[in-house]
Amino acid sequence: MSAHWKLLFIVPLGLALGTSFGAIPGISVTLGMALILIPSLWFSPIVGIVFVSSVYTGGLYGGGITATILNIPGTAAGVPTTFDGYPMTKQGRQYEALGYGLLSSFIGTLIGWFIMFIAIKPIAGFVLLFGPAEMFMLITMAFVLIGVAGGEVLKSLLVGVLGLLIGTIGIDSLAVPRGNFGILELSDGVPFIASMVGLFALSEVFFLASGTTIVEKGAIKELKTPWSFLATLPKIIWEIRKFKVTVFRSTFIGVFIGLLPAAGANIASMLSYGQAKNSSKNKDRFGKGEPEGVVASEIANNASESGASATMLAFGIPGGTAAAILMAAMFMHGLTPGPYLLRDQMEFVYAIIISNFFQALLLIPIGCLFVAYMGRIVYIQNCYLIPTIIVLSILGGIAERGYLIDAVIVVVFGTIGYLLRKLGYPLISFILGILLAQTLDVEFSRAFRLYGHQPQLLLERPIFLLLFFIMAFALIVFTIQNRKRIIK
Amino acid sequence: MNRYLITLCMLTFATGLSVAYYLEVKDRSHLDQKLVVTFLVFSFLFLACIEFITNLIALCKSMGRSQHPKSSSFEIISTELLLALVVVIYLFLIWITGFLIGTGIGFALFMYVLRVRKIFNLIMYPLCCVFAIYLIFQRFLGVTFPSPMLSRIIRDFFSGI
Repeated sequence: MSAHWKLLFIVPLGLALGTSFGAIPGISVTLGMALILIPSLWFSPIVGIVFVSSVYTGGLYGGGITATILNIPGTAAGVPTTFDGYPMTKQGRQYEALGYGLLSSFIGTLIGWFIMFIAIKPIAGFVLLFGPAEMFMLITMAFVLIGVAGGEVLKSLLVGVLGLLIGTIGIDSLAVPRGNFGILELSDGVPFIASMVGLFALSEVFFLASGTTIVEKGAIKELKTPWSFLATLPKIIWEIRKFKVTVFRSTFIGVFIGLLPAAGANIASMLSYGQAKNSSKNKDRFGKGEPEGVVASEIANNASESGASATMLAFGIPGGTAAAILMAAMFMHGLTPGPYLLRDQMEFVYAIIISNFFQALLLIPIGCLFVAYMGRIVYIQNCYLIPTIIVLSILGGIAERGYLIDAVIVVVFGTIGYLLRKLGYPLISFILGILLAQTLDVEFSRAFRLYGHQPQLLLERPIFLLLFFIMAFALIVFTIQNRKRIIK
Repeated sequence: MNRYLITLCMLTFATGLSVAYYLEVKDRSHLDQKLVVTFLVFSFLFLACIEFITNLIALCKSMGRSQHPKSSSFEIISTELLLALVVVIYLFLIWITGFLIGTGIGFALFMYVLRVRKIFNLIMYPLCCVFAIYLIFQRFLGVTFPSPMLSRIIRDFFSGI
């Protein structure tokens, strides 16, 4: 019962924080979620995870705010929103653009999670057909698909395997320390929070350091009061029904792309925008302030959350970077996403899904409250923002166990994250590796015991073969499309 | 510094660590204890080999072209390096003086590196941050911070007397 009343304030708080993080350029929703991981531990598992999920939902919406007002996407998924949102702002229609963004976020979240509410059980039944060989193939496929989506299969596999190696540090199946190089504090493995906070939060700091301020003063005119924004909402609600085909198509693109491991909101919003432009009667107006462009981008952006979360809940494989952090939050609360969660704790899964309906409904008033005042936060100078992020990151690492070495781990992983991003290696593959290492250890050992001496038995497993052919097909298509670059 | 060179250094370092990891587990008696690590290490070595060769070829090609670092990018790199150095100093301060005092000094150092010069700001912002952390984390949440080296030294000194 106590959890219920806490949810009443934790969801708006999470939405507000997430919107703040998502709206500030350079501070991604994943950084916000990483910083929220520690506070989420103060609550029960359902409340803590709903908190992180609310930050996720708020962040996806928040990225569209500065994309619209300042032409600076707060998140990578907000990039397509700038194509039409910012021209609308330049035409003096910023409230109309923000209104479309807010309503689209609401619709994308609501319909996306409704699809999950209906489909999660069939997904669960399908998921239980997965044995050790299928899980191993799924993990391998995830890394390959990440690489294909990002255009760098080799790099994705390389850092993925490195992440897997780091994730195996701790103790082996007979409780003998493994890979800790004599450091006793690593006997439990690399601490989750310290590594996530370092990879996301601390590495981001070095990219922020390259500018003196996030936004130049004078780049934005003073916004009017929130009441001006509220006045445009009824008209937008009426107008958005003209785009119902775009609404449903973008939702399905968002959910489907979100289901694919590590494809995430970035690809979903871009694909959806492209599709909307190709099939629109007003395609010439795209890029010049066409509201349908904003709708397509924001709906897919927010709908992808449900797909990414479904993959994470059902398979234990995060569908995106933010879902990876949500998965980390679940581990911290003693829950292991995957087939057994769906089989044994389905009520927990439904609680998360239903909380997202609640989040969608609350997003409207929170969004309205934020729109007029959010712009002021972008004026906080980096010289105050950066030290705050560094201190909170180190604090986050230390607070988990009280060991100084965890602060060192935050810095080490921050350095790794910075170097990987700077050198063009996909960070998501590295994180996937760390998160999936224990699962891989168990499933690989089981698969080897079952099929190591009779590998031909794998040919009798249709799901294994299907996954193998999907992976092979993706690799072949990638190789053909990029043959010129590879040969060069 | 040439990015290919940095990549090669990183690959070499990671390869060394992974080989050391393999050597640690290879003599364990039970197959489960070493199976996945062996598989991962050899996979990594194979992939790292290809990536190493690719970057080496790219490095050789780029060595021919002269590169004059722009003054602005040199400045950016300096700020990032300074920031990284101050982060290490910050960790050292936490170890010696404790989290709260270390954070207060570290926060001021970060602001100084980021070109804040007003003495009032350099003192007040860190103080407010430390106070907020003390109130929220130590008093309200009961979070335990690692004990500083300085307090142990002082305690040993006085117990010796």
